Amino acid sequence: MKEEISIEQLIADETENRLNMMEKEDYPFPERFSKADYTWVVIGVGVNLLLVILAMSG
Amino acid sequence: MASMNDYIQQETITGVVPMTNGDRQYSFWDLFLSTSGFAIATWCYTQGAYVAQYLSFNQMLINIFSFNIIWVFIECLPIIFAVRYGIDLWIWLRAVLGQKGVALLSTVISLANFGWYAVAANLFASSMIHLAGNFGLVLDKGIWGPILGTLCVLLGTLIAVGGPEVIKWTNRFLVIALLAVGVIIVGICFAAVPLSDIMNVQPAVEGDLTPIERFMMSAEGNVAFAFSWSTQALVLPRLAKTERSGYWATTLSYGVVAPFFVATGGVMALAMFVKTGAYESDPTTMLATLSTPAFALLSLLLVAFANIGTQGTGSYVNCMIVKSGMPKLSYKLMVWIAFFYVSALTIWGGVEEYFGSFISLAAYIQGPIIGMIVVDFFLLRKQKLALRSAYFLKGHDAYQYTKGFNIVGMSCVFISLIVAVLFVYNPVTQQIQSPLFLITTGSGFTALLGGGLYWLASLTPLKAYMVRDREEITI
Repeated sequence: MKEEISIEQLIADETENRLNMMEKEDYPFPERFSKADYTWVVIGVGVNLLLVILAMSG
Repeated sequence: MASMNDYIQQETITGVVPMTNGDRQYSFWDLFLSTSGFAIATWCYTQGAYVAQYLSFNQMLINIFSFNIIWVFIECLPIIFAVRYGIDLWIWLRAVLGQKGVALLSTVISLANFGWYAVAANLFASSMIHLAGNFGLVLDKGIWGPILGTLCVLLGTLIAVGGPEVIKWTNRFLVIALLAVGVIIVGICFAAVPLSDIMNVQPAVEGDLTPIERFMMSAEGNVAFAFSWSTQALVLPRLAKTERSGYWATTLSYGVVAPFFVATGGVMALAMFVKTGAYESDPTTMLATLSTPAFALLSLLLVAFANIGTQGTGSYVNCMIVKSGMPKLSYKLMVWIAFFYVSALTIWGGVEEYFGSFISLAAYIQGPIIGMIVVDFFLLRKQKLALRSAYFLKGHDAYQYTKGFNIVGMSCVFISLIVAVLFVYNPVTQQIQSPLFLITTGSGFTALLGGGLYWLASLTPLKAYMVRDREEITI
Protein backbone atom coordinates (compact mmCIF):
# COMPACT_ATOMS: atom_id res chain seq x y z
CA MET A 1 0.00 0.00 0.00
CA LYS A 2 2.82 2.36 0.96
CA GLU A 3 4.56 1.64 -2.37
CA GLU A 4 1.33 2.36 -4.26
CA ILE A 5 0.86 5.71 -2.53
CA SER A 6 4.45 6.72 -3.23
CA ILE A 7 4.12 5.91 -6.93
CA GLU A 8 0.88 7.88 -7.20
CA GLN A 9 2.54 10.79 -5.44
CA LEU A 10 5.56 10.46 -7.73
CA ILE A 11 3.35 10.72 -10.82
CA ALA A 12 1.48 13.72 -9.37
CA ASP A 13 4.77 15.48 -8.52
CA GLU A 14 6.20 14.79 -11.98
CA THR A 15 3.02 16.08 -13.64
CA GLU A 16 3.14 19.22 -11.48
CA ASN A 17 6.80 19.78 -12.41
CA ARG A 18 6.05 19.46 -16.11
CA LEU A 19 3.07 21.81 -15.94
CA ASN A 20 5.21 24.34 -14.04
CA MET A 21 7.75 24.14 -16.88
CA MET A 22 5.02 24.82 -19.45
CA GLU A 23 3.83 27.86 -17.49
CA LYS A 24 7.16 29.64 -17.83
CA GLU A 25 7.12 32.42 -20.40
CA ASP A 26 10.18 31.11 -22.21
CA TYR A 27 8.88 27.51 -22.50
CA PRO A 28 9.51 26.47 -26.13
CA PHE A 29 6.10 25.24 -27.27
CA PRO A 30 6.19 23.40 -30.63
CA GLU A 31 5.79 25.50 -33.76
CA ARG A 32 2.10 26.40 -34.20
CA PHE A 33 -0.27 25.18 -36.91
CA SER A 34 -0.32 28.14 -39.32
CA LYS A 35 -3.08 29.85 -41.30
CA ALA A 36 -1.57 28.29 -44.43
CA ASP A 37 -2.01 24.85 -42.84
CA TYR A 38 -5.67 25.56 -42.06
CA THR A 39 -6.11 26.76 -45.65
CA TRP A 40 -4.75 23.46 -46.99
CA VAL A 41 -7.14 21.55 -44.71
CA VAL A 42 -10.09 23.51 -46.16
CA ILE A 43 -8.83 22.98 -49.73
CA GLY A 44 -8.38 19.23 -49.11
CA VAL A 45 -11.88 18.83 -47.69
CA GLY A 46 -13.41 21.08 -50.38
CA VAL A 47 -11.82 19.37 -53.39
CA ASN A 48 -12.82 15.94 -52.14
CA LEU A 49 -16.38 17.08 -51.40
CA LEU A 50 -16.55 18.29 -55.00
CA LEU A 51 -15.33 14.90 -56.28
CA VAL A 52 -17.98 13.14 -54.18
CA ILE A 53 -20.73 15.42 -55.55
CA LEU A 54 -19.55 14.76 -59.14
CA ALA A 55 -19.58 11.00 -58.52
CA MET A 56 -23.00 11.09 -56.82
CA SER A 57 -24.54 13.15 -59.61
CA GLY A 58 -23.28 10.68 -62.21
CA MET B 1 16.37 6.41 -8.17
CA ALA B 2 17.20 5.03 -11.59
CA SER B 3 14.20 2.72 -11.41
CA MET B 4 11.99 5.67 -10.45
CA ASN B 5 13.27 7.59 -13.49
CA ASP B 6 12.55 4.56 -15.65
CA TYR B 7 9.06 4.43 -14.19
CA ILE B 8 8.46 8.09 -15.03
CA GLN B 9 9.78 7.51 -18.55
CA GLN B 10 7.45 4.54 -18.96
CA GLU B 11 4.45 6.48 -17.66
CA THR B 12 5.27 9.36 -20.02
CA ILE B 13 5.20 6.96 -22.93
CA THR B 14 1.95 5.42 -21.71
CA GLY B 15 0.35 8.85 -21.47
CA VAL B 16 -0.12 9.20 -17.72
CA VAL B 17 2.27 12.18 -17.60
CA PRO B 18 2.23 15.04 -20.16
CA MET B 19 5.11 15.13 -22.62
CA THR B 20 7.41 18.12 -22.68
CA ASN B 21 9.90 19.36 -25.26
CA GLY B 22 12.61 16.92 -24.20
CA ASP B 23 10.34 13.95 -24.97
CA ARG B 24 9.59 14.98 -28.55
CA GLN B 25 11.68 12.89 -30.91
CA TYR B 26 9.67 12.38 -34.12
CA SER B 27 10.28 14.38 -37.30
CA PHE B 28 7.63 14.41 -40.05
CA TRP B 29 9.17 11.33 -41.68
CA ASP B 30 9.58 9.41 -38.39
CA LEU B 31 5.93 9.93 -37.58
CA PHE B 32 4.76 9.37 -41.17
CA LEU B 33 6.52 5.99 -41.41
CA SER B 34 5.46 4.82 -37.93
CA THR B 35 1.83 5.79 -38.51
CA SER B 36 1.78 4.37 -42.03
CA GLY B 37 3.09 1.07 -40.69
CA PHE B 38 0.14 0.93 -38.33
CA ALA B 39 -2.33 2.16 -40.97
CA ILE B 40 -1.56 -0.25 -43.81
CA ALA B 41 -2.27 -3.48 -41.97
CA THR B 42 -3.79 -6.35 -43.92
CA TRP B 43 -7.30 -5.40 -42.80
CA CYS B 44 -7.12 -2.78 -45.58
CA TYR B 45 -7.72 -5.63 -48.04
CA THR B 46 -10.83 -6.75 -46.17
CA GLN B 47 -12.10 -3.16 -46.27
CA GLY B 48 -11.27 -2.80 -49.99
CA ALA B 49 -13.09 -5.98 -50.95
CA TYR B 50 -16.12 -4.86 -48.91
CA VAL B 51 -16.26 -1.54 -50.80
CA ALA B 52 -15.54 -3.01 -54.25
CA GLN B 53 -18.69 -5.14 -54.36
CA TYR B 54 -20.91 -2.02 -54.49
CA LEU B 55 -19.23 0.16 -57.14
CA SER B 56 -17.58 0.49 -60.53
CA PHE B 57 -13.79 1.00 -60.60
CA ASN B 58 -13.77 4.84 -60.94
CA GLN B 59 -16.49 5.35 -58.35
CA MET B 60 -14.71 2.97 -55.99
CA LEU B 61 -11.51 5.06 -56.14
CA ILE B 62 -13.37 8.35 -55.48
CA ASN B 63 -15.38 6.75 -52.70
CA ILE B 64 -12.32 5.31 -50.95
CA PHE B 65 -10.04 8.35 -51.20
CA SER B 66 -12.50 11.24 -50.89
CA PHE B 67 -14.52 10.07 -47.88
CA ASN B 68 -11.36 9.04 -46.06
CA ILE B 69 -9.58 12.34 -46.75
CA ILE B 70 -12.61 14.48 -45.79
CA TRP B 71 -13.14 12.82 -42.42
CA VAL B 72 -9.50 12.15 -41.53
CA PHE B 73 -8.65 15.83 -42.18
CA ILE B 74 -11.46 16.86 -39.78
CA GLU B 75 -11.06 14.23 -37.06
CA CYS B 76 -7.29 14.81 -36.82
CA LEU B 77 -7.55 18.56 -36.07
CA PRO B 78 -7.29 17.85 -32.30
CA ILE B 79 -3.74 16.62 -33.00
CA ILE B 80 -2.87 20.30 -32.60
CA PHE B 81 -3.46 20.08 -28.83
CA ALA B 82 -1.86 16.63 -28.60
CA VAL B 83 1.41 18.10 -29.86
CA ARG B 84 1.11 21.46 -28.07
CA TYR B 85 0.46 20.07 -24.59
CA GLY B 86 1.92 16.56 -25.05
CA ILE B 87 -1.36 14.89 -24.10
CA ASP B 88 -3.56 12.23 -25.67
CA LEU B 89 -7.12 12.75 -26.90
CA TRP B 90 -8.49 10.92 -23.88
CA ILE B 91 -6.87 13.37 -21.45
CA TRP B 92 -8.73 16.26 -23.14
CA LEU B 93 -11.89 14.15 -23.23
CA ARG B 94 -11.91 14.16 -19.41
CA ALA B 95 -13.23 17.72 -19.85
CA VAL B 96 -15.88 16.59 -22.35
CA LEU B 97 -17.06 13.33 -20.77
CA GLY B 98 -15.79 13.44 -17.18
CA GLN B 99 -13.32 11.07 -15.51
CA LYS B 100 -15.64 8.06 -15.36
CA GLY B 101 -17.13 8.87 -18.75
CA VAL B 102 -13.64 8.50 -20.24
CA ALA B 103 -13.04 5.25 -18.34
CA LEU B 104 -16.33 3.84 -19.70
CA LEU B 105 -16.09 4.96 -23.33
CA SER B 106 -12.34 4.34 -23.75
CA THR B 107 -12.92 0.75 -22.65
CA VAL B 108 -15.95 0.26 -24.92
CA ILE B 109 -14.13 1.74 -27.92
CA SER B 110 -11.01 -0.34 -27.32
CA LEU B 111 -13.15 -3.48 -27.09
CA ALA B 112 -14.57 -2.51 -30.50
CA ASN B 113 -11.13 -1.64 -31.94
CA PHE B 114 -9.78 -5.06 -30.99
CA GLY B 115 -12.17 -6.58 -33.54
CA TRP B 116 -9.76 -5.37 -36.24
CA TYR B 117 -7.00 -7.47 -34.68
CA ALA B 118 -9.15 -10.59 -34.87
CA VAL B 119 -9.39 -9.88 -38.63
CA ALA B 120 -5.57 -9.66 -38.80
CA ALA B 121 -5.16 -12.87 -36.77
CA ASN B 122 -7.49 -14.79 -39.07
CA LEU B 123 -5.57 -13.51 -42.10
CA PHE B 124 -2.38 -14.82 -40.44
CA ALA B 125 -4.02 -18.23 -39.99
CA SER B 126 -5.15 -18.19 -43.59
CA SER B 127 -1.66 -17.33 -44.85
CA MET B 128 -0.13 -20.15 -42.79
CA ILE B 129 -2.66 -22.69 -44.10
CA HIS B 130 -1.90 -21.60 -47.69
CA LEU B 131 1.84 -21.79 -46.97
CA ALA B 132 1.46 -25.33 -45.65
CA GLY B 133 -0.54 -26.16 -48.77
CA ASN B 134 2.38 -24.98 -50.91
CA PHE B 135 4.50 -27.66 -49.21
CA GLY B 136 1.87 -30.34 -49.81
CA LEU B 137 0.60 -30.26 -46.22
CA VAL B 138 -3.20 -29.97 -46.17
CA LEU B 139 -4.45 -28.36 -42.95
CA ASP B 140 -8.14 -28.44 -42.00
CA LYS B 141 -9.15 -24.76 -41.77
CA GLY B 142 -11.83 -25.52 -39.17
CA ILE B 143 -9.24 -26.94 -36.77
CA TRP B 144 -6.05 -25.04 -37.66
CA GLY B 145 -7.65 -21.62 -38.28
CA PRO B 146 -8.39 -20.90 -34.59
CA ILE B 147 -5.08 -22.46 -33.43
CA LEU B 148 -2.92 -20.43 -35.82
CA GLY B 149 -5.00 -17.29 -35.24
CA THR B 150 -4.43 -17.56 -31.50
CA LEU B 151 -0.70 -18.14 -32.12
CA CYS B 152 -0.61 -14.83 -34.04
CA VAL B 153 -2.30 -13.02 -31.13
CA LEU B 154 0.16 -14.60 -28.68
CA LEU B 155 3.23 -13.54 -30.69
CA GLY B 156 1.81 -10.02 -31.05
CA THR B 157 1.15 -9.89 -27.31
CA LEU B 158 4.80 -10.76 -26.59
CA ILE B 159 5.83 -7.80 -28.78
CA ALA B 160 3.41 -5.50 -26.92
CA VAL B 161 4.77 -6.67 -23.55
CA GLY B 162 8.25 -5.73 -24.83
CA GLY B 163 7.09 -2.09 -24.96
CA PRO B 164 7.81 0.83 -27.30
CA GLU B 165 11.44 -0.05 -28.12
CA VAL B 166 10.52 -3.56 -29.33
CA ILE B 167 7.53 -2.12 -31.20
CA LYS B 168 9.73 0.48 -32.91
CA TRP B 169 12.06 -2.20 -34.29
CA THR B 170 9.13 -4.44 -35.24
CA ASN B 171 7.57 -1.53 -37.13
CA ARG B 172 10.72 -0.95 -39.15
CA PHE B 173 10.37 -4.44 -40.57
CA LEU B 174 6.58 -4.26 -40.64
CA VAL B 175 6.43 -1.18 -42.89
CA ILE B 176 8.80 -2.73 -45.43
CA ALA B 177 6.89 -6.05 -45.37
CA LEU B 178 3.50 -4.40 -45.83
CA LEU B 179 4.71 -2.08 -48.58
CA ALA B 180 6.19 -5.10 -50.37
CA VAL B 181 2.91 -7.00 -50.04
CA GLY B 182 1.00 -4.04 -51.49
CA VAL B 183 3.34 -3.68 -54.47
CA ILE B 184 3.28 -7.45 -55.10
CA ILE B 185 -0.53 -7.60 -54.98
CA VAL B 186 -0.97 -4.68 -57.40
CA GLY B 187 1.64 -6.22 -59.72
CA ILE B 188 0.03 -9.66 -59.65
CA CYS B 189 -3.47 -8.23 -60.22
CA PHE B 190 -2.49 -6.27 -63.31
CA ALA B 191 -0.31 -9.11 -64.63
CA ALA B 192 -3.09 -11.68 -64.24
CA VAL B 193 -6.05 -9.52 -65.34
CA PRO B 194 -5.96 -6.67 -67.91
CA LEU B 195 -6.83 -3.23 -66.49
CA SER B 196 -9.67 -2.86 -69.00
CA ASP B 197 -11.32 -6.01 -67.60
CA ILE B 198 -11.02 -4.69 -64.04
CA MET B 199 -12.50 -1.33 -65.07
CA ASN B 200 -15.45 -3.01 -66.80
CA VAL B 201 -16.58 -5.06 -63.79
CA GLN B 202 -20.16 -4.20 -62.85
CA PRO B 203 -21.07 -4.01 -59.15
CA ALA B 204 -21.86 -7.43 -57.68
CA VAL B 205 -24.27 -6.15 -55.05
CA GLU B 206 -27.11 -4.33 -56.79
CA GLY B 207 -30.19 -5.94 -55.25
CA ASP B 208 -32.92 -3.36 -54.66
CA LEU B 209 -30.40 -0.56 -54.21
CA THR B 210 -30.30 2.48 -56.51
CA PRO B 211 -26.85 3.61 -57.77
CA ILE B 212 -26.74 6.44 -55.22
CA GLU B 213 -27.73 4.06 -52.39
CA ARG B 214 -24.89 1.73 -53.43
CA PHE B 215 -22.48 4.67 -53.52
CA MET B 216 -23.47 5.76 -50.02
CA MET B 217 -23.52 2.22 -48.58
CA SER B 218 -19.93 2.00 -49.74
CA ALA B 219 -19.31 5.48 -48.31
CA GLU B 220 -20.69 4.31 -44.95
CA GLY B 221 -17.96 1.66 -44.93
CA ASN B 222 -15.29 4.24 -45.76
CA VAL B 223 -16.47 6.83 -43.23
CA ALA B 224 -16.56 4.11 -40.55
CA PHE B 225 -13.05 3.07 -41.62
CA ALA B 226 -11.86 6.70 -41.30
CA PHE B 227 -13.49 6.98 -37.86
CA SER B 228 -11.80 3.78 -36.67
CA TRP B 229 -8.48 5.67 -36.40
CA SER B 230 -9.88 8.64 -34.51
CA THR B 231 -9.60 7.46 -30.93
CA GLN B 232 -6.07 6.10 -31.34
CA ALA B 233 -4.78 8.71 -33.81
CA LEU B 234 -3.43 11.08 -31.17
CA VAL B 235 -1.15 8.66 -29.33
CA LEU B 236 1.86 8.88 -31.67
CA PRO B 237 1.65 12.60 -32.64
CA ARG B 238 2.44 13.57 -29.04
CA LEU B 239 6.01 12.69 -30.02
CA ALA B 240 6.04 15.14 -32.97
CA LYS B 241 8.36 18.15 -32.91
CA THR B 242 5.85 20.60 -34.47
CA GLU B 243 2.07 20.86 -34.72
CA ARG B 244 2.38 20.96 -38.51
CA SER B 245 4.44 17.75 -38.78
CA GLY B 246 2.18 16.00 -36.25
CA TYR B 247 -0.98 16.84 -38.19
CA TRP B 248 0.22 16.25 -41.76
CA ALA B 249 2.19 13.07 -41.03
CA THR B 250 -0.89 11.57 -39.37
CA THR B 251 -3.49 12.73 -41.89
CA LEU B 252 -1.43 11.65 -44.90
CA SER B 253 -0.94 8.21 -43.31
CA TYR B 254 -4.60 7.60 -42.44
CA GLY B 255 -6.13 9.71 -45.21
CA VAL B 256 -3.96 8.78 -48.22
CA VAL B 257 -1.64 5.82 -47.51
CA ALA B 258 -4.26 3.62 -45.80
CA PRO B 259 -6.89 4.34 -48.51
CA PHE B 260 -4.27 3.46 -51.15
CA PHE B 261 -4.05 -0.02 -49.62
CA VAL B 262 -7.83 -0.20 -49.33
CA ALA B 263 -7.98 0.58 -53.06
CA THR B 264 -5.39 -2.17 -53.60
CA GLY B 265 -7.75 -4.53 -51.78
CA GLY B 266 -10.56 -3.33 -54.04
CA VAL B 267 -8.50 -3.94 -57.20
CA MET B 268 -7.58 -7.38 -55.83
CA ALA B 269 -11.24 -8.24 -55.26
CA LEU B 270 -12.17 -7.07 -58.77
CA ALA B 271 -9.30 -9.05 -60.33
CA MET B 272 -10.37 -12.18 -58.46
CA PHE B 273 -13.96 -11.57 -59.58
CA VAL B 274 -12.82 -11.47 -63.22
CA LYS B 275 -10.75 -14.64 -62.77
CA THR B 276 -12.95 -16.76 -60.52
CA GLY B 277 -16.39 -15.10 -60.43
CA ALA B 278 -16.15 -14.53 -56.67
CA TYR B 279 -15.19 -11.50 -54.60
CA GLU B 280 -12.20 -12.36 -52.42
CA SER B 281 -11.26 -10.34 -49.35
CA ASP B 282 -8.39 -12.58 -48.27
CA PRO B 283 -5.10 -11.53 -49.93
CA THR B 284 -3.55 -14.90 -49.11
CA THR B 285 -6.18 -16.75 -51.15
CA MET B 286 -5.65 -14.30 -53.97
CA LEU B 287 -1.87 -14.73 -53.83
CA ALA B 288 -2.20 -18.50 -53.85
CA THR B 289 -4.62 -18.34 -56.81
CA LEU B 290 -3.14 -15.71 -59.10
CA SER B 291 0.64 -15.91 -58.66
CA THR B 292 3.46 -18.37 -59.21
CA PRO B 293 4.26 -20.71 -56.26
CA ALA B 294 7.62 -19.05 -55.45
CA PHE B 295 6.12 -15.56 -55.46
CA ALA B 296 3.15 -16.71 -53.41
CA LEU B 297 5.51 -18.27 -50.85
CA LEU B 298 7.44 -15.03 -50.38
CA SER B 299 4.38 -12.81 -50.11
CA LEU B 300 2.52 -15.20 -47.81
CA LEU B 301 5.48 -15.07 -45.43
CA LEU B 302 5.40 -11.26 -45.53
CA VAL B 303 1.65 -11.26 -44.78
CA ALA B 304 2.21 -13.62 -41.85
CA PHE B 305 4.92 -11.49 -40.22
CA ALA B 306 3.06 -8.26 -40.91
CA ASN B 307 0.02 -9.54 -39.02
CA ILE B 308 2.12 -10.41 -35.97
CA GLY B 309 3.61 -6.90 -35.97
CA THR B 310 0.17 -5.36 -36.32
CA GLN B 311 -1.04 -7.31 -33.28
CA GLY B 312 1.87 -5.97 -31.23
CA THR B 313 1.41 -2.30 -32.16
CA GLY B 314 -2.38 -2.49 -31.86
CA SER B 315 -2.30 -4.12 -28.45
CA TYR B 316 0.09 -1.42 -27.19
CA VAL B 317 -1.97 1.49 -28.56
CA ASN B 318 -5.35 0.21 -27.38
CA CYS B 319 -4.08 -0.72 -23.92
CA MET B 320 -2.75 2.84 -23.63
CA ILE B 321 -6.24 4.13 -24.45
CA VAL B 322 -7.77 2.03 -21.66
CA LYS B 323 -4.96 3.14 -19.33
CA SER B 324 -5.92 6.78 -19.90
CA GLY B 325 -9.32 5.92 -18.44
CA MET B 326 -7.96 3.69 -15.68
CA PRO B 327 -4.41 4.93 -14.92
CA LYS B 328 -3.89 2.58 -11.96
CA LEU B 329 -4.27 -0.59 -14.04
CA SER B 330 -1.01 -2.37 -14.87
CA TYR B 331 -0.06 -2.09 -18.55
CA LYS B 332 1.15 -5.70 -18.72
CA LEU B 333 -2.04 -7.00 -17.09
CA MET B 334 -4.09 -5.13 -19.70
CA VAL B 335 -2.01 -6.56 -22.54
CA TRP B 336 -2.69 -10.11 -21.31
CA ILE B 337 -6.42 -9.42 -20.84
CA ALA B 338 -6.41 -8.14 -24.44
CA PHE B 339 -4.72 -11.39 -25.51
CA PHE B 340 -7.60 -13.51 -24.16
CA TYR B 341 -10.23 -11.15 -25.58
CA VAL B 342 -8.75 -10.99 -29.12
CA SER B 343 -8.15 -14.75 -29.08
CA ALA B 344 -11.83 -15.29 -28.26
CA LEU B 345 -12.88 -12.96 -31.12
CA THR B 346 -10.48 -14.79 -33.46
CA ILE B 347 -11.83 -18.23 -32.57
CA TRP B 348 -15.42 -16.96 -32.88
CA GLY B 349 -14.69 -15.62 -36.40
CA GLY B 350 -17.80 -13.44 -36.44
CA VAL B 351 -16.04 -10.12 -37.04
CA GLU B 352 -15.39 -10.92 -40.72
CA GLU B 353 -18.82 -12.49 -41.10
CA TYR B 354 -20.55 -9.29 -39.93
CA PHE B 355 -17.81 -6.91 -41.15
CA GLY B 356 -20.08 -4.06 -42.33
CA SER B 357 -22.10 -4.09 -39.11
CA PHE B 358 -18.96 -4.33 -36.98
CA ILE B 359 -17.20 -1.28 -38.44
CA SER B 360 -20.35 0.87 -38.42
CA LEU B 361 -21.30 -0.01 -34.84
CA ALA B 362 -17.80 0.94 -33.64
CA ALA B 363 -17.98 4.17 -35.67
CA TYR B 364 -21.34 5.08 -34.12
CA ILE B 365 -19.63 5.46 -30.74
CA GLN B 366 -16.57 7.22 -32.16
CA GLY B 367 -18.57 9.59 -34.41
CA PRO B 368 -20.19 11.75 -31.70
CA ILE B 369 -16.84 12.01 -29.90
CA ILE B 370 -15.20 13.32 -33.10
CA GLY B 371 -17.86 16.02 -33.49
CA MET B 372 -17.76 16.98 -29.81
CA ILE B 373 -13.98 17.19 -29.48
CA VAL B 374 -13.69 19.50 -32.51
CA VAL B 375 -16.44 21.78 -31.09
CA ASP B 376 -14.95 21.66 -27.58
CA PHE B 377 -11.40 22.42 -28.73
CA PHE B 378 -12.14 25.25 -31.17
CA LEU B 379 -15.41 26.83 -29.98
CA LEU B 380 -16.00 26.02 -26.33
CA ARG B 381 -12.57 25.97 -24.65
CA LYS B 382 -10.86 27.92 -27.44
CA GLN B 383 -7.78 25.66 -27.45
CA LYS B 384 -7.08 26.01 -23.70
CA LEU B 385 -7.48 23.25 -21.10
CA ALA B 386 -7.08 23.26 -17.31
CA LEU B 387 -4.33 20.65 -17.35
CA ARG B 388 -4.13 20.25 -13.56
CA SER B 389 -7.79 19.27 -13.47
CA ALA B 390 -7.32 17.03 -16.50
CA TYR B 391 -4.65 15.14 -14.54
CA PHE B 392 -6.75 15.10 -11.33
CA LEU B 393 -4.08 16.92 -9.30
CA LYS B 394 -5.10 17.60 -5.71
CA GLY B 395 -7.34 20.65 -5.32
CA HIS B 396 -8.18 20.80 -9.03
CA ASP B 397 -11.56 19.29 -9.81
CA ALA B 398 -13.02 21.31 -12.69
CA TYR B 399 -13.72 18.09 -14.60
CA GLN B 400 -15.33 16.01 -11.87
CA TYR B 401 -18.87 17.02 -12.95
CA THR B 402 -21.60 14.64 -11.66
CA LYS B 403 -19.95 11.71 -9.86
CA GLY B 404 -17.28 11.60 -12.59
CA PHE B 405 -19.66 11.87 -15.56
CA ASN B 406 -20.22 14.99 -17.69
CA ILE B 407 -23.97 14.41 -18.12
CA VAL B 408 -24.21 16.82 -21.09
CA GLY B 409 -21.31 15.21 -22.97
CA MET B 410 -22.43 11.64 -22.27
CA SER B 411 -26.01 12.52 -23.31
CA CYS B 412 -24.77 13.91 -26.64
CA VAL B 413 -22.96 10.62 -27.35
CA PHE B 414 -25.93 8.39 -26.58
CA ILE B 415 -28.60 10.61 -28.20
CA SER B 416 -26.53 10.75 -31.42
CA LEU B 417 -26.03 6.99 -31.43
CA ILE B 418 -29.71 6.17 -30.81
CA VAL B 419 -31.10 8.76 -33.27
CA ALA B 420 -28.73 7.50 -36.00
CA VAL B 421 -29.74 3.86 -35.47
CA LEU B 422 -33.49 4.57 -35.33
CA PHE B 423 -33.84 7.29 -37.96
CA VAL B 424 -30.84 7.29 -40.35
CA TYR B 425 -29.14 3.91 -40.82
CA ASN B 426 -29.28 0.74 -38.76
CA PRO B 427 -25.83 -0.88 -38.92
CA VAL B 428 -27.08 -4.18 -37.47
CA THR B 429 -29.74 -4.80 -40.13
CA GLN B 430 -27.91 -2.62 -42.72
CA GLN B 431 -31.23 -0.85 -43.41
CA ILE B 432 -31.33 2.74 -44.70
CA GLN B 433 -33.95 4.49 -42.52
CA SER B 434 -33.96 7.97 -44.06
CA PRO B 435 -32.92 9.92 -47.21
CA LEU B 436 -30.56 11.80 -44.87
CA PHE B 437 -28.28 8.76 -45.09
CA LEU B 438 -27.70 9.61 -48.77
CA ILE B 439 -26.16 12.94 -47.73
CA THR B 440 -24.30 12.24 -44.48
CA THR B 441 -24.01 8.42 -44.19
CA GLY B 442 -24.93 6.95 -40.79
CA SER B 443 -21.50 7.33 -39.21
CA GLY B 444 -21.04 10.86 -40.57
CA PHE B 445 -24.46 11.78 -39.15
CA THR B 446 -23.38 10.73 -35.64
CA ALA B 447 -20.38 13.10 -35.82
CA LEU B 448 -22.47 16.01 -37.12
CA LEU B 449 -25.27 15.46 -34.59
CA GLY B 450 -22.88 14.88 -31.66
CA GLY B 451 -20.96 18.07 -32.42
CA GLY B 452 -24.16 20.01 -33.16
CA LEU B 453 -25.93 18.97 -29.94
CA TYR B 454 -22.83 19.75 -27.87
CA TRP B 455 -22.54 23.21 -29.46
CA LEU B 456 -26.27 23.92 -28.97
CA ALA B 457 -26.01 22.89 -25.31
CA SER B 458 -23.20 25.42 -24.89
CA LEU B 459 -25.57 28.21 -26.02
CA THR B 460 -27.94 27.47 -23.12
CA PRO B 461 -27.49 27.87 -19.34
CA LEU B 462 -25.90 24.39 -19.47
CA LYS B 463 -22.67 26.17 -20.44
CA ALA B 464 -22.05 26.98 -16.76
CA TYR B 465 -22.03 23.21 -16.10
CA MET B 466 -19.91 22.36 -19.17
CA VAL B 467 -17.23 25.05 -18.80
CA ARG B 468 -16.12 25.57 -15.21
CA ASP B 469 -12.37 25.67 -15.78
CA ARG B 470 -11.69 29.18 -17.11
CA GLU B 471 -10.29 30.56 -13.85
CA GLU B 472 -7.84 27.69 -13.70
CA ILE B 473 -6.25 28.22 -17.14
CA THR B 474 -2.56 29.03 -16.69
CA ILE B 475 -0.94 27.57 -19.82
